[in-house]
Amino acid sequence: MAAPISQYVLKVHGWCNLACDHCYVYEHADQSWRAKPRIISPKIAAMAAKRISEHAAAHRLKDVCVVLHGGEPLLLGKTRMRALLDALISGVGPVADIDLRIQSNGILLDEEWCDLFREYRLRVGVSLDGDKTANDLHRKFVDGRSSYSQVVAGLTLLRRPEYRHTYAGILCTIDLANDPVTVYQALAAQEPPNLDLLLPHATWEHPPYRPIGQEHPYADWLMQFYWCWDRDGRRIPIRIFNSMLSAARGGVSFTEALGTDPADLLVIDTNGDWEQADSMKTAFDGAAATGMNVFDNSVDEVCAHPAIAVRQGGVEVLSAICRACPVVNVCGGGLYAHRFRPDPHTRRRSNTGSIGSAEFNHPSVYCTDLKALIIAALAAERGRTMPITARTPADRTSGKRETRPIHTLPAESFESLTTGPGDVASVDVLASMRLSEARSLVAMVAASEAGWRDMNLRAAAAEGWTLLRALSRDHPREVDEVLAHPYVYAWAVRCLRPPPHADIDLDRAHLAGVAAAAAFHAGISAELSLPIRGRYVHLPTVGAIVSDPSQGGRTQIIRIMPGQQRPVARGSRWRSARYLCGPPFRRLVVEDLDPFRDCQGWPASGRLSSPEWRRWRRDLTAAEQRLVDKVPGYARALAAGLRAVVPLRSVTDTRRSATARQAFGAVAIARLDGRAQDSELSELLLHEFQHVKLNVLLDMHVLFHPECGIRFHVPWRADPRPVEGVLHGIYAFLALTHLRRAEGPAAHATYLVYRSWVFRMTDELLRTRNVLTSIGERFVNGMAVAAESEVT
Amino acid sequence: VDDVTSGVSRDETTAERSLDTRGVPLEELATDADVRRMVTRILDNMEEPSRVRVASFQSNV
Repeated sequence: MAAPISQYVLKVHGWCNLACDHCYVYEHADQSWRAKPRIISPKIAAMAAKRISEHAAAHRLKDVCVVLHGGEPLLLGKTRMRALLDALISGVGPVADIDLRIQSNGILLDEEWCDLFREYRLRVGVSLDGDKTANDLHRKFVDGRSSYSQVVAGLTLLRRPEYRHTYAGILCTIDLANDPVTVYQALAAQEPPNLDLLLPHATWEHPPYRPIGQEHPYADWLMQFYWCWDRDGRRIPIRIFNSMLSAARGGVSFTEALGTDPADLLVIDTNGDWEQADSMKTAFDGAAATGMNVFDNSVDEVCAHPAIAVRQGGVEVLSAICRACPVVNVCGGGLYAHRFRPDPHTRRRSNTGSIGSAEFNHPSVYCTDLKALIIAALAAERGRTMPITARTPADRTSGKRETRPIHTLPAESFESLTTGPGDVASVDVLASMRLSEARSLVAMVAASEAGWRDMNLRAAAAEGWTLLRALSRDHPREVDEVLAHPYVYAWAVRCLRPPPHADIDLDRAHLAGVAAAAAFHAGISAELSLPIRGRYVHLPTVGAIVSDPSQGGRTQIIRIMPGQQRPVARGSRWRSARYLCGPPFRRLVVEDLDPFRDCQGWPASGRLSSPEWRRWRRDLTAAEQRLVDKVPGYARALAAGLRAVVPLRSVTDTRRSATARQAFGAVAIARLDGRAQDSELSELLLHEFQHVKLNVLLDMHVLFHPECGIRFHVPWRADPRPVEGVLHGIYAFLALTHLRRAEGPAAHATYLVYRSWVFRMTDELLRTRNVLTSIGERFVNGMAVAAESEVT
Repeated sequence: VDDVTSGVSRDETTAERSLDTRGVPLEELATDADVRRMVTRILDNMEEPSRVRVASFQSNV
């Protein structure tokens, strides 16, 4: 049975506003575009959605990816695009999560398009071949004009904070005439979140250009690019290289051009025809066709087409030369279209395409290049040492090394964390790293000048930034006290990657509130405008002013005076942040005010009433004391790192708690009224704080291969979990194992259950190939051993 | 396929590259190219599909 299909390329517009001479759609063997409609009709789009949906339902696919393509898909226009996206979402959405992408030449990108991308959560990839000289070689208008400046303007728009999350990456077709170093620098300057490099499409009938005397010039070009990438810290994921490295480790490839994974992609053309991958158009006229269309044929029927089926057979269906090659598992025979060698005795029917005939039973026309590239890259990987300091391109040019220190986790801290609680020093390292990140994020929020619409809010943010910069020099400890607050980090992330419908100006103006809070802690005089959000003017870690609605406007002036207990503003009331300051806590806020606290999945409660606050204070103190008595090691770590507890809205008879990655030091808990709170709360605090620690550890060290798509059945949840979810669960239940063990005979049965869960899942992770990295194995081994032990 | 969007891989070394910015004046961070790159990595990493954004727990009692 054929593997199910989860990726679809939907041709929404058949024409293009550029006339690139290397385009396979118009300039290569296939000319079928001439007879197809320019624009996909609503009826075809709806039918395509129906076919995708029924296939996802039949094969229980949780996610499908639809890439809108052309020609140039933005030629469809915004109104038609909205209708198309609505049809896809309403057709597929009820069955599977739909991951929408679009591949554009970038010429037409404007704010309206980007707003539409944000609204529909659609990510855009842009084609660019390097710097202006490189790009102008092929990517030109029909009259020969350069397209470079317009594409770069589009990319500049995508890099803006409010649109950055819609920026999927850059696609570059390489040309030996271009200098790989210059191309790398030009592409890196566009800060793409992903990058891929394509070999120019070619076949044995039309082989690629090769300078005389050069055996594998494309490998040489790509290796120069590889070294640029490596020396630059590999800060941009490059699909061709990451696919090679992943396939070499036995993992999946992320591109059909490499690896032996079954083909997982179909194309739907503007006329509703099912087609094979577009690259086939380089082979011969009609090569991509299947003779099927969305009205008459299901996805399963298309998958049974011999040309699709043959591409799901792995190594076994490759040529004898390929099967005997030592790197076949990495290259997978190369792109299917590049294997084409015409046979004069083969008769083809142009409306049904290739049927996997002997014409494709050859190595790739790029065989020597692929082999040389793979061997060179893998040799480089084996010889590579981890960089220990960060370097900039300028440093490399001058031969100097950057001396800015980097956060590292000492080996003893790592080992301490694997045992469950971690010691105070380990938690301090994790907190330090998050503080460094928070400082950087806040600085970048302040530096993002573009896109303001409300000049009053912009002025408030600018005023706040001026104050915060001055305070960071004169009162660094007080500034860091505010920046270390979990929801300052969450706020900065939200500003830099805003969710759809965010009020970006209002969010960014919170910088003034951050500055005001630091000024308050520093005990200096200050007067500044702060944004009004709902009814409140927020000073994170300090409290909030209930604004005076009669004053109008989106900002309110507040004044801070040394020695005063609260900031003052005309005609307003004050709400203090609520702290537990005594032992065992260092300083813990019960966060029921911060406007960015609601990021843990479950809804946060509103401001607690005075009796509710007293109950939280009493019960949290008792819960913490219980941890001090039973598992003092965990209690010490908790006291060192826990800064905020967010009350969640209570749900009758349901225990709920959560932790967000962007809020280090915070846990969110729903309180169960009328129950023994110290027991409930101590368990939930312990459970969630394990997630808090592991979140940072996972950012410092790669514990598992990210390309591993395996999901594991776990005993604590019904749904299969990704590797990181399994690690989080084990780590949380390791702590609960220790707590139950310390509680003695009354908790013995639960102790045995939790311990068995840790044993079972650590064993499963360790036994499954290509899941854990070597450091991940150390971590999981450490947890397995720790489950047997008592902790102090 | 002309699509650069599928399959994001975190390189193992990226985890080793968290600059220690404590004590550095904030205005210096705002213009530092390395810091900008680190922030981009943090944000990209935050959206990395293989990572868990929110760890949540629920059970009926």
